[in-house]
Amino acid sequence: MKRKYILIDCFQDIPCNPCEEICPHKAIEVGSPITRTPRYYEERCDGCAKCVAVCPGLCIYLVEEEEGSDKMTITLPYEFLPLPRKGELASVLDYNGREVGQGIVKRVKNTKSENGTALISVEVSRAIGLAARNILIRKTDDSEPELVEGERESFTDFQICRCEEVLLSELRTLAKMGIVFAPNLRRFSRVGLGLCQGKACSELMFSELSNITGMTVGELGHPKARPPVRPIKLRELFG
Amino acid sequence: MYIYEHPILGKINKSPKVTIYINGRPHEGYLGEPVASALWAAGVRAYKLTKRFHEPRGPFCFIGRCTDCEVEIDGIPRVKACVTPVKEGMSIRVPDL
Repeated sequence: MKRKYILIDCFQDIPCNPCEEICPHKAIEVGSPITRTPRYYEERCDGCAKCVAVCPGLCIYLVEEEEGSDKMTITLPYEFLPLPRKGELASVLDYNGREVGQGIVKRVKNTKSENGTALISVEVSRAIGLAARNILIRKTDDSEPELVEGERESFTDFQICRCEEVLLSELRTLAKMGIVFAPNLRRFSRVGLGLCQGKACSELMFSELSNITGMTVGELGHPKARPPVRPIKLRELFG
Repeated sequence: MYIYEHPILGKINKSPKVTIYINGRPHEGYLGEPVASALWAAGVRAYKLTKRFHEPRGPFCFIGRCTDCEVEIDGIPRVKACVTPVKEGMSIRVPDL
């Protein structure tokens, strides 16, 4: 017996419903409010894959599996050039972009009705099938920069404020010392006092403070914002 | 490195080529493209080193907010390369890092 169904990686409450609109069989329901994540009714779905091509987040995949077979076919949206060719060997990538295995490109569909989003069907082993999220065609002359061993693992800190180069760990230290009132924290750490005037870091600072203290953004106080909104030349002020 | 064909937008029509000067040396750029894009094409990706950690910085937000991409254009310092369109004969100065 053949089974066709879709996987939806949609988990954010964002206002978006093209999948619901395009489905001819009402197999996907977003409903009201439009920010709900989609619900899927497999019994109504005929596997036409229209939703796979229309999803702006490229997060819907069609799975075709057959009872007794150790292979399955995943149809995924693909927006890179050049397009893979039928029969080509492809590396199969998971949600995090890690290679989980290999597959054979079975179909490449790229029609005007899909607005340029190509649908690539790859045959993969059942063991990795449901993890497949994208493919990578390796060219023979591909010289990929090698990831330094442990590069990703050693990552523990980052700059919460790029202009003043303040580390997240430093912000946490200050917060643990009891400096959690946002205007005070700004004076001690200089987060938000750099050239970008807090455009990049304010929200990060508030969410981190909120995480540490359990207080709402309102309770944390708001640092005073003073004009000008963006840096301007003195000449523009005084002519 | 430019994108001349895009999977969704199709063929990209580029504007006319103009000559710009990066640290006095002539380079080609497309009229109206962001200066940051012309610099990228010329192989210039870092515009400064940060004061504290001495990290290279270049275009980051690409929308004129973060100020990481400031360069000197036609003698005016601290111009944001990501939101400034390329013009014929423009002179850009970037520190050699």
